[in-house]
This record gives sequence, structure tokens and C-alpha cells, in this order.
Amino acid sequence: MDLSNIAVTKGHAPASYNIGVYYSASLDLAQHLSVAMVLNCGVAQATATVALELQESDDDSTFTDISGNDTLIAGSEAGGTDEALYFGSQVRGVTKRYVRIKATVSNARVEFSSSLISIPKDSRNRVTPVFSR
Amino acid sequence: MAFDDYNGSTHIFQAFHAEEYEVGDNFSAAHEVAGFHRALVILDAGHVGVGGTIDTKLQESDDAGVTDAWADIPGAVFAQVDASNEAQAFAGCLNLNKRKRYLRIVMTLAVRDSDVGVIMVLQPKDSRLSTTMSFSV
Repeated sequence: MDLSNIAVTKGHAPASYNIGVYYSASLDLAQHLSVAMVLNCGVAQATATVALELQESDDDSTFTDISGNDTLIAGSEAGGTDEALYFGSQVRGVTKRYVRIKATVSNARVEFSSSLISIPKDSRNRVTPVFSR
Repeated sequence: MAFDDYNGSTHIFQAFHAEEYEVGDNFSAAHEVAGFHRALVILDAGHVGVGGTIDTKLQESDDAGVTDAWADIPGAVFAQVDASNEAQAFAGCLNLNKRKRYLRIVMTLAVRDSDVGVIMVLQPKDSRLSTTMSFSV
């Protein structure tokens, strides 16, 4: 895999998210082969949970869950302190043109960010790295 | 490139978990990269605020700074993040074949505490170094 030929798209900006549902901007996969989601989790209070899942859409308006890709991060796993979790995930079962990340925060605040990493069909669609050494 | 390339062929290192960092120098843990070909470094910038800046760079060492002092990797520097370009994801790519055994990331915040997170996606030489995916569908 050539990591210099990958597109990186912001999902959720790093911040402290209160209880609620948060959607990332959508990513048009027409020019991409596949996509992975990365969660960077910061401080999660002991009772907090954050559920991340990918959704897909044909029209960039009505989104539905992609079966089998949801995951739940619980505050107890994050230690309730400065510990943190991360994960990578892959979706090759995407059948529609657009995807986005749905984050559901329950019980208490969670600090996190998310990103979408995708492989462009055409290298001209990649994100030009800030540096490449 | 095959779809399966993510699963079983990538290793993820959380350099800075996503949260608010204080003004000053912040150092990630050292990460051994001897078993990896290449690194994609992703800087997720959140709200920075007026006057705040984030400067991020990569350093290397043969022994994680024990006797070989950490040194900047020429060119492996992110453009400064401030209020004009906050809330974006930035990426940098590093060929590890010419690099020392350990990497770390230095993030310097000025004027204001800011929300930020940094991860590295690494391409291992051996798939046993890959990160197990939370799911793969």
C-alpha cells in the first residue's frame, strides 16, 4: 500500500462533545476505491459512551447505516481520565456514493475526533501532503 | 490497490489523543518504526481561537533520546495552524527507510490552549505488526 496516495478527510474536529448525535460532512466516494474510519478518543468520563458508525447515501441527503460497521467506545474503557482509545476500520461493503460518520454520545461528555481515510482511483484526487519526505 | 489493504496492512499509533492541549511544547511518546516502510501523519485541528497557533513537527532518534538526542527531520513540518485554517485535517507522509529507529511528534501551542489530535498510520513490513480493526465489512 502506498500511503503517499491516500486521501484524508476530516470527520469530526477534535473537541469535547456533549450528549447528542453528531454527523461529519459527507465524502463523495465516486472517485475512491474504499474508505476507512479512524477515531481518536480523548478523555471520556466514566459513564460516557460514544458510538461511531458509517452511513451511506445515494443523494447526499438521506443516509442509512451500513450494517456491521458500528462500534461503541465506553468511558470505562477510556479509563475516565486521560487515557484514550483509537481504532481503524474498513468498509468495502459501501454500495452508495456518499458516506459520513455518525457519532452518538450518551450519558456524559467525550472528547474525540474522527477522520476518513480513502484510496482514490485517480492519484490526482489524493490530498497533497503538507510534507512528503 | 486492493480493498483489503487497510485490514492487515496498517498500524495505527495515537500520538496525541484528541483533547485540549495547553500552551507550550507537547511531546508524543516515542514510537519505534524499525518495522515500517512509511508513515502517514494526520493532524486533526479543532478550534484554535484568535491569536492561537499550533506548530507540529517530527523528530527522530536512534535510541529514543537516551544517548542520541532527538533531532528534527528536515522538511517533516506541518504548516502552522491558526484561526484562519482551524478545524481541518492535515496530512504528511514520511518514507521511513532512511530514518532512525524512533519517531516522535512535537506540538507547540502558543497564546491559547487548543483542541487537537494527531495519529500516525504506518505501513508495516510484516503484517503481524498491523493493528486489528474494530470491524471490517
